[in-house]
Amino acid sequence: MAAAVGVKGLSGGNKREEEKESDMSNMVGDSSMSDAKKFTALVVDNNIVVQNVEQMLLHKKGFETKVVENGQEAVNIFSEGNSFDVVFMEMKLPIMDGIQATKELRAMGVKCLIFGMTTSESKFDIQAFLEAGLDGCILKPLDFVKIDSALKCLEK
Amino acid sequence: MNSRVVEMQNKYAEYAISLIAQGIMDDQFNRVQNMQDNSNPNFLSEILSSYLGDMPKLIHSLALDLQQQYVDFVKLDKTIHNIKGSSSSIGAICVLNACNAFVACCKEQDIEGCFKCWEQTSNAFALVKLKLEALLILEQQIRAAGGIVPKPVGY
Repeated sequence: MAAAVGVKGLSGGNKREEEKESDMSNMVGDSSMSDAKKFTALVVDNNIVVQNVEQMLLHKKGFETKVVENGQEAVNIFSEGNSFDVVFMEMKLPIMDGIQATKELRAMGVKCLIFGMTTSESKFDIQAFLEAGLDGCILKPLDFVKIDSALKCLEK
Repeated sequence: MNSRVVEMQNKYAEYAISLIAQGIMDDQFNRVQNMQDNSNPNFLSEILSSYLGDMPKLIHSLALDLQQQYVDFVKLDKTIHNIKGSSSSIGAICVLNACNAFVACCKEQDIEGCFKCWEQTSNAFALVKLKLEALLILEQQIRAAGGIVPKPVGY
């Protein structure tokens, strides 16, 4: 599978936001990060298989994760004051899709990394998703190489 | 080590390799197998069972949508996208490939083409189901004999 496509350069730095504590699921699995540097990730996907595989991959890389099933839930979780270092946002979601959710998060002032996730190879689809405010778009499935690329962005 | 367990482990490993050699699964399947460890000993069977349980409903939903008087191609596309997502996550490349053809027909609003693609997707899933269920049985047999499920070589 292709690695990240259409990765935008980050503008205005990539600082972790000092915000209220986020509601995280317990971390399981071994970590490739030190205890002093555990990143948090929000997985936005309505497919249980995708949720579980992405969560497992992220846990093995030392992330703490939370999963929501649609764009509206993603917007709500940030509205409630939660924060994450990175969001992995599926493009085609029920209730509110990933493109709209990304636009709303950016309009709310959410500055964390948001990576779009899709199985679509349509340049038109990917371009629309990127223009919503993504930091990059990843062709599914997520894997360790793609997570490492995300980690590099986080650690800058 | 119990020679029977070793024999079952070898059979499992060869079977898993053959799924990739036959183009039914791809390297993502190796990665998913490798995620299973002492802290998550049932990860593979849970993920595969989720996939095998979820897919029939999605495929059936596609059939119902195609039989509507006015086919909603946007809805169809979303369901196919969902199937692609879960299939790519476990490495079910033959289902993913069938879905790619389906997406193309959907985009052209080619109903006849969509019906053919639905059949191909359905057949591809039936094959994956058969193979993965056999693999899960082998896994159960290894565990029942007190053995450890082997990981793919090179991971």
